[in-house]
Amino acid sequence: MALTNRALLQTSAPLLFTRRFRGKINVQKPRKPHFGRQILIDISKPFFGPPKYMLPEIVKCEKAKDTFGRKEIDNPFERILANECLNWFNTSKMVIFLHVNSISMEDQTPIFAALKKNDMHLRTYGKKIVGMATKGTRYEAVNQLFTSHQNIIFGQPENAAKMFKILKKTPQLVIMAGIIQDKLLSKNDLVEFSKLPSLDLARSQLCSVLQSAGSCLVGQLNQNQQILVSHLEKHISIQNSPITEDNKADAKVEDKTDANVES
Amino acid sequence: MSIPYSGTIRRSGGVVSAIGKQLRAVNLKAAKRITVKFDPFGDNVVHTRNFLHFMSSPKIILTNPNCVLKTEIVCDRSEPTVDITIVPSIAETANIKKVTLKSGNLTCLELLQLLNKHITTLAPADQISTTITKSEKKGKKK
Repeated sequence: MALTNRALLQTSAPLLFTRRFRGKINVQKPRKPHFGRQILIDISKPFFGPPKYMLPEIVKCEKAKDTFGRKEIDNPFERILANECLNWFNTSKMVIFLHVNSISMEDQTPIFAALKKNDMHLRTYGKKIVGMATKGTRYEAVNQLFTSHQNIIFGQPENAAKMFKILKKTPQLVIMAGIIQDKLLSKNDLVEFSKLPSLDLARSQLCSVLQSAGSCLVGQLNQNQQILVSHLEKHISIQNSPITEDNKADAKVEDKTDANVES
Repeated sequence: MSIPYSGTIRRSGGVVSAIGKQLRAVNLKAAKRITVKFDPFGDNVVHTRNFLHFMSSPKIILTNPNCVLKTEIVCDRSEPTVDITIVPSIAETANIKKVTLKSGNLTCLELLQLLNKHITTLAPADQISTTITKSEKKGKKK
C-alpha cells in the first residue's frame, strides 16, 4: 500500500485552523478588532452624499459634461524644450523647415550625419513646443507650417548650397520655407539664395561694376592719343630697321591704314 | 408598446480606423505618377500633407514600386491638388489619362476614399504565377 502511495502523486494535506466549534455565534457583543483590521474597515466604509432633494438644480443636470476635457497642465519639461527651441532659433542665422514624408531611421541617419558634417543640425520639435517657443516672438508666423510631420534644420547661410545638394537625394524630406538672416523666404527664394555667389565675391563684382564706368570713360578719352602714339612708334621702328623691299611694301600699307584712320 | 431597436449594434472605431481601412485597401498598380502640389503657408493644406505622408509609407509604395511620388511646393497661394497619371496600358482601356483631386476642402479620409474609388478600381487583377514542381513535370511527361 505504501509503495503504491509513493508511486502515485503525493497530495499535501490542507492546513486547518479552527475558528468555531459548535458554540453560539457572538453578534451582540463583538470584540474590538485589531488596529490594522479597524483601519481597513474605516477606509472601506461607504460614503453617501447629501440626498437629491437637498442638492442644487444645477448639479442635477443630465446633459453630457466635458468630463474628459483637456486640462492645461504646466509641464516644466515642455518649457525647457521650448526654451531650447527658441535658443536654436536665435543662434542660427539659417533655419529651414522641411515636410517629412514617411522615412525610416535607416534612411534618415545618413542625412543627419551628412548635415552634421557640414555644421547643420536636423531637429524635430512638435507643434506645441514650437508654439510655446515662438509665442510673442518675431517667429510666430512659422506656426502655420507645423500642421503635419516636419523637421527643422538649423545652420549658417554659407552652407545653403550643400544642404540643397544633400536634400536633393532624399525625396522624403521636402523643403517648405526658411528663415535666412531674420527674413522668411519661400522655397523658390531659398533656391535662388543658394545659387547666389558668396558675399565676398558679390562685393568684388560690385566693385568691378562701379569701377568699370570710370575706367571705360578714361579709356575712351585716351583712345585717340594712344592710337597716335602707337602709329608713331611703328614709324620709328620702320625707319630704324634696315630698309628692304618687304619693309617698303609694309610701310606703304601702313601709310594707307593711317590715312584711313585719320580721315 | 416597446420601440423596435434602432441604431448600430457595433460602434465605429472613429476616423483613425476608417483611414486605416482605406489605406489597407489602396492599390497603386494603375498609377504611373502621383504629384502632390501644395502651398505650405495655406490654411487648408493639413489634410493634403497628411495624405502625402500616408502615400509615402513603404507598404503603399510596395503595391507599385514603379509609381513615382513627387511633391511640389508652390508659393502662389494656389489650392492644393493631387494629380495622378494613369499607366498608359490601363488608360487606353479605361479612357482615363489623369485623375486630379482638388484637395482644398477635402479631408484626408475623403481623399483616400476618392483614391480608392478611382484608382484602386482600375488596378489590374493579380496574376497568380503557377510554378510547376519537378514531380509534377515528371508526372506530366509520363
